[in-house]
Amino acid sequence: MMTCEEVRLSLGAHAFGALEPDEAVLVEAHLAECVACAAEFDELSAVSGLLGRVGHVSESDVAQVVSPPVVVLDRLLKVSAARRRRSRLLLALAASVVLLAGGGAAWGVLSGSGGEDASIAAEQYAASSPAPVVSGDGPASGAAEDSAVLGKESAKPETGPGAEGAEEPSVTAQVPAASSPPQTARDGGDVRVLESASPRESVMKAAPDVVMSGVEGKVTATVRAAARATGADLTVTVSGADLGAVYRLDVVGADGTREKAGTLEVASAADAVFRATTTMPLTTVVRFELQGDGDVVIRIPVKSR
Amino acid sequence: MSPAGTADEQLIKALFDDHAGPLYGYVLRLTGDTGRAEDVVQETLLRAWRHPDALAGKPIRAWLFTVARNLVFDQHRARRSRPQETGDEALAVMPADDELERAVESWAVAEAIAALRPEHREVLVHVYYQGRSVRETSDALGIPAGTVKSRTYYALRALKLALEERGLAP
Repeated sequence: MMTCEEVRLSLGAHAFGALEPDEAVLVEAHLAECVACAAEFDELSAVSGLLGRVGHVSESDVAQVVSPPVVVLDRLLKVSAARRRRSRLLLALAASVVLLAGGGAAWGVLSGSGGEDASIAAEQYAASSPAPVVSGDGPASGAAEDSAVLGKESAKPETGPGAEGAEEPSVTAQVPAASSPPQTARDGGDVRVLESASPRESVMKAAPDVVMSGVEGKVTATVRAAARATGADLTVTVSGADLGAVYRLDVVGADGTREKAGTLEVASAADAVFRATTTMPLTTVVRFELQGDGDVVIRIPVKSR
Repeated sequence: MSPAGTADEQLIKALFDDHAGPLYGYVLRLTGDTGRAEDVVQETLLRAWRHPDALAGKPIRAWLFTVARNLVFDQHRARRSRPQETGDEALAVMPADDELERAVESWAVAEAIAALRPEHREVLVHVYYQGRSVRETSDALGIPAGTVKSRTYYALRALKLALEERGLAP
C-alpha cells in the first residue's frame, strides 16, 4: 500500500503516462480511494493535457524561446541611440536659439575672448530681429527620412525631445519642427552666424569672425572662428563641463571630410577657453564636433550665408 | 546618457525580454529562415516601440503576432514581384483570428516551459516531448528514478503557475 506522500510525487510522471506499469497500477488503486490525491492528479493532468492540446511546440521551439537572437536587441538599441542623437541635435539647435534670443547678455558670457565684437553683433542682431526664437509650431513638413520615428515626436512632444528637459535645463523653447529633418531645422531654425557688423571690422578688412554654439546636456560649447589664408583659427569655449573632461575637436566639411583640430582638456571649473586651428576653409565647414568620453558629442552646426 | 534615452532603452529591452522569444519562435516557423525571422522580429518590436498608442488597451502579444505575420506575408507578396507596403495602421487593426489565437497560445506555452528551471525543463523534455518513461529518463540523465518523478511533479506544478501567469488556465 502506497502512502499519499509516495503517490503525490509519482503523480506528475503518471500524468504523462511515464510510470512503469506495475507502479501505475498501484497509483491508480490509491487514486480510487483517496479524494485529495485524485484532485491533485486532476490538476496535473489538466496541465499535461494543455501541453498536448496546444500542440506542435517542439523541443527546439522551446529552445528558441529561451534564447531569442540577441542581435535583434543590439540592432534595436542602435536605432534608439540614433534617434536620441537626432533629438539631441534638435535640442542643441533649439538651445542655441534661446541663447541668441537672450541677446547681448548671453553672448557676453558665451563668446569668450572675442566677446566684445560678438556682443555688439548680437545686440544689433537682436535689435534688428526682435523675434529670432523659433516657435514650437514650426512647419510639420513630412520628412521622408524616418517619418515614423519623427512623427511620434511630433504627435507627442512631451515624450520627445522636450522630455529631456531635466537634463537640458537651458532649453526653454519648444524644439522647432520636430518632424523636420536636421537640415531643415538648421535652415529655418537659427543657429545664426553672427558676423560683426562693426564698421571698425570692415575698415580693418579682416574676414569677419563666425560664432556658433552647441549644447549637450549641461555642457555648452561655443566656437569662434576667424578665417585665415588657409583654414581658420578657432577659439573654443566650453562651459559646464566636468573638471578633467577631455574633448576632441573635429571639423566636418560639407563633403563629409573630417579633420581633427585639437584636443581639449577642461582644467578649470570656470569656462575653459582653447585655441585650435583647422586647415579647412571656413566656407566648406558645416559643423564642429566636440567628442567627449563615451558617445558624448556636442555638435556645433555652422550656418553659412 | 539622457533620461529619455535610458527610458527608450528600457522600453526596448522590456519589449525584447518579454516578447522576443515567443515572437521569434513564431516567425521562424512562418519563414523557416533565421535571418528573415530576425528582421521581422526587429521590425515588429520597433513598431511596438514607436507606436505605444497603438498598443494601449490591446493584448500586446496578439498585436505583435499580428504585425509579425503581416510583415511575413507582405514579404511573400513582395517576393512575388508585387511590391506592397502595409502601413502601421493597417497592420494594427487586423483582428486576431482563430489561427492567430492558437499561435499566441502555443507560444505562451512554449514560453512557460522555457521559464521553468533547467532541471524541470529537462525532465519535461524527456518525459513529454520524447515520451520516455521514468526509468528511461533516469537512465538517459543518470539520475535516480525517484528524482525523475519528483522533478516531473514539481515541473508540472511550476508549469501550472507559469501558464496561469500568462492567462492560460489549464
